[in-house]
Amino acid sequence: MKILRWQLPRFLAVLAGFLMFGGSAQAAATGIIKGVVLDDGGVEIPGAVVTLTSPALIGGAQQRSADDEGRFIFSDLPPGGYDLSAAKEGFSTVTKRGVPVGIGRTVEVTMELKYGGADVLVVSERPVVDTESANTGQTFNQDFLSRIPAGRSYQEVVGSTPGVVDNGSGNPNSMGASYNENSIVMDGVNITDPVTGTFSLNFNFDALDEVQVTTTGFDPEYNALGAIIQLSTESGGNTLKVSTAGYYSNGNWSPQYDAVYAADGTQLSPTGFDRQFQAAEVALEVSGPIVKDRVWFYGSYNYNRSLFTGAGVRNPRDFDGHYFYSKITAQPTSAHRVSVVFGANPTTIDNINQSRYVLPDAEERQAQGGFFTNVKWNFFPSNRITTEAIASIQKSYIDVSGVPCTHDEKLGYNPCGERQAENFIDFETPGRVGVGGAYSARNSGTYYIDDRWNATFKVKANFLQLDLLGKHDIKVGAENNSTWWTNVQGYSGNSMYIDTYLVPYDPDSLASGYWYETTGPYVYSASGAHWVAFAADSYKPIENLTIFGGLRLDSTDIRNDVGASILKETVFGPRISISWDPFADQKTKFFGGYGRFTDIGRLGITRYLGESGLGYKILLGEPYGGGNTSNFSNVYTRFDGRDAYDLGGNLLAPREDAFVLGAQREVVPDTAVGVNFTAKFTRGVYAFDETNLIYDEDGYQYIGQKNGQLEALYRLRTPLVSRRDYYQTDVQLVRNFAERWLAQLTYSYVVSKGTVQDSLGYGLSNPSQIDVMYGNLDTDVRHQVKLAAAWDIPNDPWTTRIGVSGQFFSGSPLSRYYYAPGGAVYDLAGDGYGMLREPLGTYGRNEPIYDLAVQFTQDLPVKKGKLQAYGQVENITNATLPYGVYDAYISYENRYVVYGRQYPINGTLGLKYEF
Amino acid sequence: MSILALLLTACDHDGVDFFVKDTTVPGVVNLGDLEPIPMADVQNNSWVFNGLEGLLFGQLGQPDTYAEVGGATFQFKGTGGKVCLIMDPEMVYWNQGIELDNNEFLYEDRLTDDGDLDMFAGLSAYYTGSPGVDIGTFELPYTDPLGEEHFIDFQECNRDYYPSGRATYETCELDTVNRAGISFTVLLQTFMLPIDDGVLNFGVAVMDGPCEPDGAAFRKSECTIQMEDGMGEDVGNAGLEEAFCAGEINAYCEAHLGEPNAPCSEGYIPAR
Amino acid sequence: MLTILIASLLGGCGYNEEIRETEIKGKLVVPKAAATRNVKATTDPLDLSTVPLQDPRLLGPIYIGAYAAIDENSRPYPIPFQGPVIDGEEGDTFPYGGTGVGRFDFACYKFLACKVTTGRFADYADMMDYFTNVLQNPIKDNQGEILNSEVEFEQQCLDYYYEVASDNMAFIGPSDFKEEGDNYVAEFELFHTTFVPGMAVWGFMDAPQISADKLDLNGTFSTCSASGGRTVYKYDQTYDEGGAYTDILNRPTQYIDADDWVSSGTIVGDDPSTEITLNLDIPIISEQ
Repeated sequence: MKILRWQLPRFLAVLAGFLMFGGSAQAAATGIIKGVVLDDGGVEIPGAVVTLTSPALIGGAQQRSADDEGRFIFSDLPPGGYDLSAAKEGFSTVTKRGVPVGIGRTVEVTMELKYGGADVLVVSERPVVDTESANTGQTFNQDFLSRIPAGRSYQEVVGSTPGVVDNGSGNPNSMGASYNENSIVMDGVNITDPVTGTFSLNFNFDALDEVQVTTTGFDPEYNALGAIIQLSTESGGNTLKVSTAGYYSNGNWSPQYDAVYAADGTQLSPTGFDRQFQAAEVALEVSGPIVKDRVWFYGSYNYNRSLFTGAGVRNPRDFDGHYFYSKITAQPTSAHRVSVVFGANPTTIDNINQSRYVLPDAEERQAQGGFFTNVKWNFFPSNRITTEAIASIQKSYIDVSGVPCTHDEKLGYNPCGERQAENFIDFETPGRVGVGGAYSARNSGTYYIDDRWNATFKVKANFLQLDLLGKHDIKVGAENNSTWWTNVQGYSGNSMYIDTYLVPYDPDSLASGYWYETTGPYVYSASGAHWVAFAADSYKPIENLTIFGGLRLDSTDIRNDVGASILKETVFGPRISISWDPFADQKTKFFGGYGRFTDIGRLGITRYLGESGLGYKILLGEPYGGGNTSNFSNVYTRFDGRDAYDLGGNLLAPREDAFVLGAQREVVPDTAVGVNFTAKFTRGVYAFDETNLIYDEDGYQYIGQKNGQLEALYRLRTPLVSRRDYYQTDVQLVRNFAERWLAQLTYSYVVSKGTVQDSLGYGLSNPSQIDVMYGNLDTDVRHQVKLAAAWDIPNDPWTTRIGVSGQFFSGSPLSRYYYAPGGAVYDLAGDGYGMLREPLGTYGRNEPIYDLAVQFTQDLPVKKGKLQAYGQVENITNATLPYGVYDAYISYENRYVVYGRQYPINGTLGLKYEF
Repeated sequence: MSILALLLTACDHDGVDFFVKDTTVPGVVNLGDLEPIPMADVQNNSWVFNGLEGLLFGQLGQPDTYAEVGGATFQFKGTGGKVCLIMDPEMVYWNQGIELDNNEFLYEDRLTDDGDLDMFAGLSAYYTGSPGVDIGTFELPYTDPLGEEHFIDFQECNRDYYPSGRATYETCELDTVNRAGISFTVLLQTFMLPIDDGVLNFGVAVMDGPCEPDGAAFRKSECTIQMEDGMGEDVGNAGLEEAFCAGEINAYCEAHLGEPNAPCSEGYIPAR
Repeated sequence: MLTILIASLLGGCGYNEEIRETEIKGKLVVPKAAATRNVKATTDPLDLSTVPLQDPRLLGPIYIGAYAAIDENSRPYPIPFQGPVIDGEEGDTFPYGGTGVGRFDFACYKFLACKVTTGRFADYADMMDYFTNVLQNPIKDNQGEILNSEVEFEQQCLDYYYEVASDNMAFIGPSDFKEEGDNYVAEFELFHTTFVPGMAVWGFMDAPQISADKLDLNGTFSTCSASGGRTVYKYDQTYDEGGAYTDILNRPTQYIDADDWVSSGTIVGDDPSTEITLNLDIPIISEQ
C-alpha cells in the first residue's frame, strides 16, 4: 500500500500552556465545570444561583441552582475561558474570571460566599493538575500555539507530546506504536483514514481551537494502539470577527548541501547546490452571529503553497492546497444544540517524486483531497443529563498520475505534443525507468486512483453526578461506522520498461533491461463495518479519589473485493484507572491504570488477501530486437496477480495492554512537576510468514519447495510472537501561561523493543531469522527531551512575544543486514534482501538529533482591529543531522549512510490583521 | 454547497474511465471443436483465408467481474502424431521500440490496441474449467501416502515458447502419439485486453504435423494467421497487417501519416 | 520475563492460530565411516595409490527433509516416496519441510565456490590444511597463486565481507558435530514444517568429490550449483559465489552419487514436540 509520505518541512510543534489529562466521563471536544458553593465557614449553600458566561458559549449565559449539597455542574462546554459567579440572597456575590476549560477536562471550582460581605471579583485559579484523570498526553491550546514556534498544521503539533516520535511523515509514532495506529478525531467524529490508518485530511490551522494528544487514554469512547488525537474546532461567537493573515517562508539563503551517498560511500551529489524551499500561506476567517446567542457561524479558508526540492533535483515539488471549513452552530433553546459542518481540502502536488534519478517528464502529480460533512445534535433534558447524536460522511481521494504536460517551455518539463491540450495527463505512453527512478523516461508510467468513504452514526448519553455511595459520572454510547474503498491502478500502456545497471545508478553500466507487461488496469475494492458500544463510570467514593472503570466493545468485519471477511471479530476493551489526591487540594495526584486497546482493522489489510490484482510478465532483454523475430519468448516470470496471499489460520485483532503509574504535584502556583511510568505490550501484530520454500539450516538458501514450484506463498497471520514491548519513564515540569510566561520541559527515558515497528511485518518469512527479529525498534530512542518556553514582554501596547521550542533525541538504533545469496526474506531471484546476524537494532546507533526554533510576534497598535507581525526561525543552529529517526542506515558494505538530513535554517515572516 | 464540493473535487479522477467494457462480447468463450488442418494446405498457404475449416477467429471481452479470469477454449481430437497449435492475438506485432536504437522500423507499436493471450493445452480429461462458463487449469491433485494433496500440472505446451508478450503469436507442439481420437482441450487465457475497446480479436488454428517440419516452407510467424483483427471495423488494421507481411510497411505508414486514425504513430518517419 | 508472563495472562489465553506448521527437533547420528574416504597417499602425481583417511571435515552438507513416506523398493537404498513422473523427470517428493546440517558458504576466493560447507572448519588454517593435505588441491587466490598464509586469507575475507573481525564468518567456527563413540552427532531443527502424523524424516549427505586423477575437481559437491548464489562484481572480476540447487529435497535422487550416505529414515509419531533421531546409515557404494 502506498504510504502518504508527507515531507513537510520540519516545523516544530507547539506546546500547550497547561498540561491536560482529559478523559473522564465526558463528551468529546468539550469540558466540564463543576463545584460547590460554600459559606466562609465551609458549610454548603443549597439553592445558590450559579451563572456561567463565556464568549465561547453559544446560547448565552447558563444558570444552575446549587443542589442540597451546594453542588453544581455545567457540562458540554467548548474549550475557552469562562466566568463563573455564585449568588445567594444575603451573601456576597463571588465572580471568578477566566476559569479554563479544555477538551475532556473537568475543572472543580469552589465558590466561597461571605454572609453579608461585599461582592468579590477574583481571577480564577488555574489548576495545573487534573486530579480526576489518569490519562497521559498533552493538550495544545490555540492561545499558546501563537506563542511557541508552530508547525502550522495539527500533524506537526502532535510531535511534541512526550513519547511521540516525529518521523517526518505527518503520522507520528506514539509510544512505540506504528505510524498508522493513531486515531484522529475531530469534534467527536473519527477522521482517521479507513484504508491506511493515517491522517486523511489537511486542515485550516486557524480553525483549530485546541489539539489534544492522549498517548494512553482510559476513556472507552476512543480506541487506538497509538495516540488519540482530538481536534476541537472554532464555532464563532457573538461578535463578528474577520481575520486575514499571510505568511511567507524561505529557506534558500543558507548554503544548501546534502548527504546522499551511493551504497559504497561515494558521494553522489555535489556539495552546494540550489535547493528551493519556499512556502506561502494565506488565511481568511470569518465568524460571528447570525442570531445573537442563538445561531453562530464560522468559516475559514486557507491557501497553502510550497516549493521544495530534494537533493539534486531541478523541479520543485509544488504543493498547492485549498482548505475550506465552515460550521453553523445553533442553540434554539437551552435544551437543544445543533451544528452542521462542511469542509473540503482539494490539493495538487506536482513533482512529488523528488528523486534526482527521475527526469522531469517522468515526474508524478498527486491530486488529493475530498470533503467531509457532519450534523451533530446535542439534547440536554436536564442539568445532569446530556446526550449527543452525530451523523457524518467523509470522502477522500488520492489520484497519482504523471505530471500534466505544458506548452510553456519556461517550465522546462513534460512538453505537450502538438495535438495535446494544456495540462493533458498521459495515461497511455509507457514509462521507462532505471534503478532508483527513471533515467530515460517519457512518462511516469503508473497511475493510481483511490477513493475512500467513511460514514458514521454515533449516539451518546452522559448521566452526571449520580449519587450512589459517592458520585458517579456515567457515560454510555454506541457507534456504527461503515467504510468503503475503491482503488484503480495500472501502468500506462499496460507496460513498463526497466533499465538495469551493473553499477547502481550509473547509466554507463547499462545492462540488458527487462520489460514489464501487465494484465491491464485493475480495480480493487474493500469495505468495512464496525459497531462499537461503550460504557464508563467515573466514580468518586470520596472527594479526592476517582475510580474510573470503562468497557468498550468493538465488533468489526473487514471484507475484501469479493466480499470475503478478512477480519471478523468482537473484542472487549476494559479500562480501569485510579486517581488520588491525597491532600485534597487539587494540587497533587497519584494515579495508575490499565487499559486494553485493539486494532480493529483497516481496509488496507484486505489488499493482501484480495482476488483482484495486477498480473505481470517480466520479459528479459530489449523487447524489440529489430527484424521480424519475436523476442518475447524469453519470459522470465509470469505472475497471475490473483490471490496474492493467503490467510494463515485464525486472525485476531492486534491488541495492546497498557499500564500507567505516576504522580504529579503543583509546586508553586501554575507550575507542576510530575513523573510517570508507562508500559505497553502489543501482541498479534500483523505479520507474513511463508509456507512453501524450504531453507537450509541458516535460512540463506532454498533447498526445496513444498508444492514443487519455486514460488513464495505468503500468508497473513497475527501470531503472538509478532509483538512490541514499550517502556517509558517521564519526568516533567510544566508551567501554565501565567504572569506573562510559560515553560515546559520533559525528559523521557524510553525502551522500545519488538519484532515489528510498522503494523505489518515480514519477519516471520524466514524461519531461521525469527529469534533475531526481536530487538530494538526504530522508536527505541532512549533519551528524549522536549522543551518550550514563551514570554510576553511587558511593553504593551507594542507587546512583543518571544517563544522557543526545542527537541533532542538520542540516537535511534541501527541494524546491519548481510547479503543472502540464495534467497532470504523478500527475494526469490537471489541477491536478496538481508539477513540479520545480531538481534534487530543492536548493531549501532544513529547520531542524536536536536532542533531549536524561535518565534516572535509583535503587536502593532492600529486604530481599528488588531495587527500583528510574526517572525520565526527554524533550526536556528542549522543542525545537519539525519532527518527524523529513520534517514540513515548501515549498508551491506558496513558503511553508515545518511540519505536525508534536516532542512537547513529557514525563516518565516507573517502579518495578521483582525477586526 | 454541493456545487462547491463538485468544484473542489474537480481534480479527482474517476477510475472507471480506465476500463472499456463492451458488454456484448463475453469474457469466457468456447469455440467448439476444431479440425486439424492438413500440413499440405498449410505449406501452400491455401488456408490463410477466413472461412477454411480449422482456422478460427474469435473475440474476447472482459469477464463479468474484474477478479475473474477470462479466455477461450476449444477442443480437437488427437491425430496419433504431432500437432501444432498456432494462435495470434489482435493486430500486428511490430518489433518497435520506444527508444530508436537500431530498429529496422521506426514506428511505434500500437500499444493501445494490442492484447495478450497465453496458450495452454492438455487432455480434456485433465481440464478443470467449464468451457464457456469458467476458466480452469490443467492442474490435478495428487494424493500422497499420508493423504496430503499436491497439485501437478498436466499442461503439455512446451515452456520454451510461451507465454509470449503482447500481440505476439504463440505456437505449441503436442505429441498425440498413442492418443489418436482422444480429446484435447486448448485454453487461450486472456492476459491483457486492448486499452482502446476492451475487445480482443484473435485467430487460432490446429495443424496436423509438427511445428518445425523438415525442409518445409511453412513460415511460423506473425503472418501465418492474418486478418485476425478482421472482426473489427477499425479502418486501416487489415491494410496495416497486409503491408507488414508484404514487407511494405514503410510505404504504407508514410502514405497514411497524419490521418485521423493513422495506423502508425505520429512523429515518426520512415528510416529507409 | 515479566513481559512474557503478562502477555500470556492477558493476550494469549485461548488464542489458537490453528496453523499446521511446527518445529521438529532432532538428533542426527552419522557413523565415522561416513567421514572416511580414500585419499591420495602421496603428493606425487604419478602415484595413484590411496589410503583411507578419517576426517570429520570430509562430511559434506547433510540435507534433511520431512516426507510422506519412505520408498524402500524403487532403488537399492531408501528414498522418499515420489509422486508421478511428468515429462521424463523424476517424480517430485513434495516435502513437508526440511533443513540441513551444514550449508554452502562462500569463503572469499573464487576457487572455493561450491567447495566449503559451514560447521566443518575451525579456522582459516584448518581449511587450508584440509585442501592442501586431505584433498591435495590447495587453495588458490583470485590471481591463481597458491594461498599459503592464513593471515592473507583472513584479510581477504575481512575485505570481501566488510567485517572487522572474523566472528561473523559463517564458514569457520565451532563444528556442527560432537564425537560420541563411533559416531558424529549433530542437532537439527526442521523449521516451519507442515506436521502430518506418521510422516517420515529422511536425509542424505552429499560427500565431496575426491579422486586421485582429477585433483582440481576435488572438493566439489553435486548439490552445489556453480552458477547459483550471488553474482559478484568486484573490481574487474565477475563470478558467482555458488549455491545449493533449489530442488534438492524435491528430487534428491538426482543428486545422490557414489560415496554419498543416505538415511534409512525415521517415522514421526503423533506428537511433534518429541525429539527424533535420524541415522545416516547407508552408504552409496557406486552410482546406481
